[in-house]
Amino acid sequence: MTQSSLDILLIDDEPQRAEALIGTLRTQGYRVIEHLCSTEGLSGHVDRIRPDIILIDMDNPDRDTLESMSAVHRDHPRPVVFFAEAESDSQTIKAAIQAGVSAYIADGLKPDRIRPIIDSAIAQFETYHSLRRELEQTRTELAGRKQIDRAKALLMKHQSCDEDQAYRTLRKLAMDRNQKLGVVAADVIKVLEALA
Amino acid sequence: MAEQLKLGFVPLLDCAPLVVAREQGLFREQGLNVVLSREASWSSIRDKLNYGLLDGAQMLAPMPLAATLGLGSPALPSCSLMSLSRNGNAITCSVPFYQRLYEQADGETSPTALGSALRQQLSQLGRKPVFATVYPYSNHHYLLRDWLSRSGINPDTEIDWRAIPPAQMITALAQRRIDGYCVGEPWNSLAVLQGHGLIVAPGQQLCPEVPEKVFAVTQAWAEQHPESCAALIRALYQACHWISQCRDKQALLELLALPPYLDHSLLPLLETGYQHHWGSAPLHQQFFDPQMNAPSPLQGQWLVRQMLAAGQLSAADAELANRRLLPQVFRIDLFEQATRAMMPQA
Repeated sequence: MTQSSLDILLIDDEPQRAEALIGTLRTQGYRVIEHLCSTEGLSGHVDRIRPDIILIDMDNPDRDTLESMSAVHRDHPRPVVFFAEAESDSQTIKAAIQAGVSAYIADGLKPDRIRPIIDSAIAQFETYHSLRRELEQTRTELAGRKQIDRAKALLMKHQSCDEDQAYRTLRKLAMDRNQKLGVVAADVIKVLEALA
Repeated sequence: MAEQLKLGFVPLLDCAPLVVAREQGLFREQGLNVVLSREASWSSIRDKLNYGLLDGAQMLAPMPLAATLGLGSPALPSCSLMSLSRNGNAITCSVPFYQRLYEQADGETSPTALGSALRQQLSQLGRKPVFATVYPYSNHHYLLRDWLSRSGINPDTEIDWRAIPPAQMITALAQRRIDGYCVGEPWNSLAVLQGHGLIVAPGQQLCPEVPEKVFAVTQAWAEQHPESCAALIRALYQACHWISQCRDKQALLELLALPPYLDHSLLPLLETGYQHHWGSAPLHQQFFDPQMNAPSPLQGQWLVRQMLAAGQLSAADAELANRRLLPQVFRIDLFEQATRAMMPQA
């Protein structure tokens, strides 16, 4: 796992705890790009530095701010890991981690406790991203298929041929030009619509 | 002694039903042993319900539905046992920004006139107006969007949005980081009292029938604790009734000002009495009305429309919500069962 490529923003108003946590994260090979004590103007800050992971105390009032931001900027998902104080026992921590995006680090300054939690956050981050990528791909494919259908229809009309014939024409064009079917379809639409 | 229940609240005036139910012994009368836990954010309330750190909580009205649909968080099937309040939100602008709108509107102060003034000012401002809300799945957010839309302003393209916690709103306004916000009380009245803001539109002039806060638990908890659910509903309903009968608002404020409830943030209101304003109609925060307290799926349908308009919900999710989820999320059945024998007089 290449943790070093992930940038962590730490938000904590307790300087001592923050310092210890930063130390632990660094010895574990994570990159803490910034530590904020006060969260005034948080959203502008996050927009500027674009961290991959934000570590924030469960009880920080700015948690709603972060959720608002991810509701507005869906393109920049940044998982948030929370660490809470004494009230969480190990059962709760386990439940929290299993529940999804957020994770607890209670008495979180022990390196052996931090590692699996950050790793789980990273894993979630990556799963989320691969899901997004798949979704994007499906969307592109769908858009491509629509284009291909449209191109086929135009070809059928223009060349008075049947659907199979139109599809073969497209495929041949694609092979000749070493381009994807979707790209060729888009070109065909452009040309035929210009002619019409 | 009954098993202890831990209920979360956010320090806003409309946590009053929970505070009153505890301080007036209404939970105890129902055989409940309740501790109230002050929470710093709505996100934290939702997560703590999820992890079993809280049994129930005050929530923004749209939250049980948003959590059930998994909007912005892992899906957590939740339900509203009762609506707690309405008409406690308002849209407030900074004093210079308000003056700008006021002059443009030729001294008219209705929300409609000030909204049109804002639209006319868009081109002269040289930048987008900056507005803040606390949380995306909230009536504050929907109310502000609704006022802008009705004024002919596109909330998605013509406004610069910020997210700020309630207690930091006034400072942001005073420092001119934002032009205005929509938030619950006391953060509108306090801005007026401190001379940093003026109220453009109280919630009841825009959407008078809409509950703002609810009392919520997870669907799993409701399933496992039917008796506690009924007892909680009864105690909170009595508390809402108590507040409506409370002639001495000062006494109520003093109760709310107890730590850990709202403590020192309320002192300015205590000193001056709870009234204002220049121009706008006063806020009429309301806690008791059997129609409003009953968590009906109709309230849910309104929320689904707002979520759709705000782009938070896909059409498919909206249909799912309307067809299947609303009766699971808005438990009017549990509310009616629990309150059938009591029905305090309106």
